[in-house]
Amino acid sequence: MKNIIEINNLSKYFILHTQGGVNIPVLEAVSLAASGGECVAIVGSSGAGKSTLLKCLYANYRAQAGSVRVRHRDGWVDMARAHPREILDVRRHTMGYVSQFLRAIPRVPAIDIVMAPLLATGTEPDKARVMAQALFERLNIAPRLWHLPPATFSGGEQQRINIARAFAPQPAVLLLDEPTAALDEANRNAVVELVREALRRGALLVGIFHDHAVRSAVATRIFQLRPAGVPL
Amino acid sequence: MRISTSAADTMEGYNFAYLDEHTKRMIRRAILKAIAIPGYQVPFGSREMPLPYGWGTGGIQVTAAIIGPDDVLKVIDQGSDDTTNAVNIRRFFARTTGVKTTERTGEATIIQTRHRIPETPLRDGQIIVYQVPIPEMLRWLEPREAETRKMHALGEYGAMHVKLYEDIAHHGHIAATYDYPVIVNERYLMRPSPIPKFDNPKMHMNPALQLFGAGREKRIYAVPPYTAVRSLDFEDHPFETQRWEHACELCGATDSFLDEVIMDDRGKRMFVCSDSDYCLARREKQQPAVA
Amino acid sequence: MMTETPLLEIQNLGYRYGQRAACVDISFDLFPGEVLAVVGESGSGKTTLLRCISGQLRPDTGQVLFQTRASETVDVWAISESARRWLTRTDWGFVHQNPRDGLRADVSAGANIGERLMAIGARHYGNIREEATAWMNKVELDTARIDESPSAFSGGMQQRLQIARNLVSRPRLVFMDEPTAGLDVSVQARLLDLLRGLACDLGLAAVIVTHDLAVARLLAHRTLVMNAGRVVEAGLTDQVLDDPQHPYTQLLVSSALPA
Repeated sequence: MKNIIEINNLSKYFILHTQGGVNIPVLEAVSLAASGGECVAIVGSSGAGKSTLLKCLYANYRAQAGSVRVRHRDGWVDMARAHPREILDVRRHTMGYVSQFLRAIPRVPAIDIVMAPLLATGTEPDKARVMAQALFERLNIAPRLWHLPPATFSGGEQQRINIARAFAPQPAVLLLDEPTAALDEANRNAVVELVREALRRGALLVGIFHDHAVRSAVATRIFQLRPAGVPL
Repeated sequence: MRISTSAADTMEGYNFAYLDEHTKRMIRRAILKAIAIPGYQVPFGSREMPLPYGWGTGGIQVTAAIIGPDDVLKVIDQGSDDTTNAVNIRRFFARTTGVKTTERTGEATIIQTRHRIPETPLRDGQIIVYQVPIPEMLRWLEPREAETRKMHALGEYGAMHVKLYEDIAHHGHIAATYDYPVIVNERYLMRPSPIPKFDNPKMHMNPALQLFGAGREKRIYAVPPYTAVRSLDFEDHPFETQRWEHACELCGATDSFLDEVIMDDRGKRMFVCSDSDYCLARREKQQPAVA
Repeated sequence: MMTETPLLEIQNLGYRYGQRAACVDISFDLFPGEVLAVVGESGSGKTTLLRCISGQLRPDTGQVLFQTRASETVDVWAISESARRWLTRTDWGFVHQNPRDGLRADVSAGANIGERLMAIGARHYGNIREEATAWMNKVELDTARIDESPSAFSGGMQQRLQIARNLVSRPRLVFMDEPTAGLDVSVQARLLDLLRGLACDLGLAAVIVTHDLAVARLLAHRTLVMNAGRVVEAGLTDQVLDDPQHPYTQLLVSSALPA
């Protein structure tokens, strides 16, 4: 299959100006290519830069060197260099991201949060509503919660809203940062099912899965990260 | 009862029409500019007059600047020739110029007025001089003079309708009954002075020259003869003048602006023409030559 | 869509107050539907920048180019004052920090909303009122209070009224100066949510000046960080806030309460 992402010699370090300019290297010359239908599980010790790698892919973090190319609209976009508008376009149409914590606008009901990315890509409101409700049902979100803002939801409920929001538009690339950390077994299984379905439709998933059972259930490939500066 | 004066009691020691000739020329220049730019407020060096502000010092200065020995002057206040303000101003000019004065609208060459336009249609060659307390229509909307001038310069008058909107919102109709805003010659927004809106249509295409003087605010403006004067309104709330269910109880007129007069302590009222000359003329016609 | 022309283009803009430079060599683009936050401390020059690009303060140097709804690019400071003032009533909106600066206190809520329509030529009372009612609904104000004076409204309601008053002419670009600064936290959230929804539904572009990074995070696609009159960092809002590069931005982000 054709590659969907190609990371080449990606380096990322943080310079903390507020702390005397200390330089913290996180990623050093990381390369990874992956294609549709793959589920790449990033593994590595704490501090190896697993989340940082996902954030560089999503262009939430800026890369110091190397390239992070994503196939988008019949071409390649280097997320490390692209104009913000292009990055937003990639996020809108090609790439979804499940962060560890739900970050949502206060007061917006759960169903609207999940419908938003669908509406942004032109789905009819009625159809978007049906799609969002179907996801809620699969993720066992009680109907009484659908029209409430998630601020007061439990950690697990918030996480499932987050998952529904990312999966709803069926993007070609999905980045998952510990998507099942706060979930019980039934809900973990529901997520596993969603991931498998995405793989079947040819999506690429790149994730951090601390839960071994989930990882072995979904991963098609393991990508080992070592802390920067530590020899192989 | 008709009053008129003649040159007999002219005062000595004052220039013709009280103001010195240089001042009159300055005012005439302002008037000419005002006529050239219909509705535009021309600043002028308003003088102290032997009357307090609010008693028509602006109108008096305009009249003083244009009056000549052959003019015939009529002065009205609220339509009437015999109220204090009208009597004072008429006597002022009679004594400082010696010109003939009149109460008959048709005889006058200059009519100075406060709050009314006579019912008898004005004709070519007449001049009507309005006394204006506050010339700036935009003042309520915008307190800064620099900004209102800019709004006039750029013709930004749309927000003026906010005032009319408020009237309709609160009263169901445009409740303003006097000092009703107009657009002159489809260009400048103008405050017609506190005449009733009943008189607004008379300003439109009037054969007479209309001059406006504001003494305290030091502004002169004008509507030249045969100039379009349009009252602001909404499509669904068109401009309307006041109407009365009564006719004048003295002359029977049904087409004039009526004053409600309280007759006694028990609240007996009667409706009579505000234009005393018009009313009298109609009555004279009905019962000729009582005298 | 990437070849779209910008709605607003700022080129090398500079402004000085005497010896002190308030804005130095500032350039950026804003595209239709894009929300841009300008963050920085008081005195960083962000409000001066906003006034320069919104036609209120003529910059000493540089250009402000705007694409009108007739798809014509105009140099905001080269066109006539009349054309510039027309822009401020039609294609642009300006939401002040203090609603008293943006509202007419002595006329009703309905007249406040309707004023722009009347200013651009609307002359049908019924239609104006209908439009004012619709906008009160959109900004979640009780339409039964259409004839009340804004002084009878709470701070949050006044701010929503100010927004309706601006949006009624369907501007394509709205400038906002600390729109949530004077409000309680819960009222702020409601207003932010409303602004986000309106910007999204109407395809509005906006420049929001704020010292509150949470406001930037919730509303803005992109963020400019200003310090001492210069733009020290610019980029995607989450990039700027999550991975700040410039020492000043790092300080700003680390000093803020969690957003």
